[in-house]
Amino acid sequence: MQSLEKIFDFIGAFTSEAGITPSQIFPIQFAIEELFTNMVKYQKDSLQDIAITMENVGRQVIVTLIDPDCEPFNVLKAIEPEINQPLAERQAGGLGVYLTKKMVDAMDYQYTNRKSIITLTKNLEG
Amino acid sequence: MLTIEMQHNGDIAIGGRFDASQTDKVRSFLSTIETSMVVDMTNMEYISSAGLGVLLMTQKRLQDSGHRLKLKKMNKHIRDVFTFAGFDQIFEIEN
Repeated sequence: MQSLEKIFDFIGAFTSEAGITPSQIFPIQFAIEELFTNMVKYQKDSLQDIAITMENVGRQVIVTLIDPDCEPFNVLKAIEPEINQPLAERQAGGLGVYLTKKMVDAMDYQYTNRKSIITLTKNLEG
Repeated sequence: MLTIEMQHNGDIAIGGRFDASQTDKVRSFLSTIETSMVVDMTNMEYISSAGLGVLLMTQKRLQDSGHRLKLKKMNKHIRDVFTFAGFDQIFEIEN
């Protein structure tokens, strides 16, 4: 989790240069943190770094997260949490990917030769 | 960075970025809470699912003894996160 500070600095530098407003940044930060921590959590034995790229294309931000050496885990098929349960039955897990899908406009998952690539697209509104 | 402290009015103020790297800090602070409290989120800029998890577990623990956290003054983005997660059904939220 020590990497998160650097990741947020990276996001901040990118969004500042791209002229992205603080309000537009939140979903991007959220999506990157959730997917990055998910990759780290489920690939604890991996010695390779996860690469994150960001690109501003017109009125869209396109983010890719690449784990070069991992087992497959298709985030698009992650089981959705039960969000309408009463407090006593609510579980803490499973919210990250679910909420990420709500926050971005498109998400894609590719897996080839032990490499996972998640691509997110966020439209910049306003 | 994240700040968490008890305010003079008895509310707990959490400010800054509540991401996965800050969960131990908040969990440790909230573990000392044994009664109903108000959490002032005026200065909270960001929360991720890790932060939601800490708040959820605290709420579950407090409910066992008839107490609850009430959350106030969250920004629009955080409010959306709570709504999408169904957390507006398990936390009283005041703005």
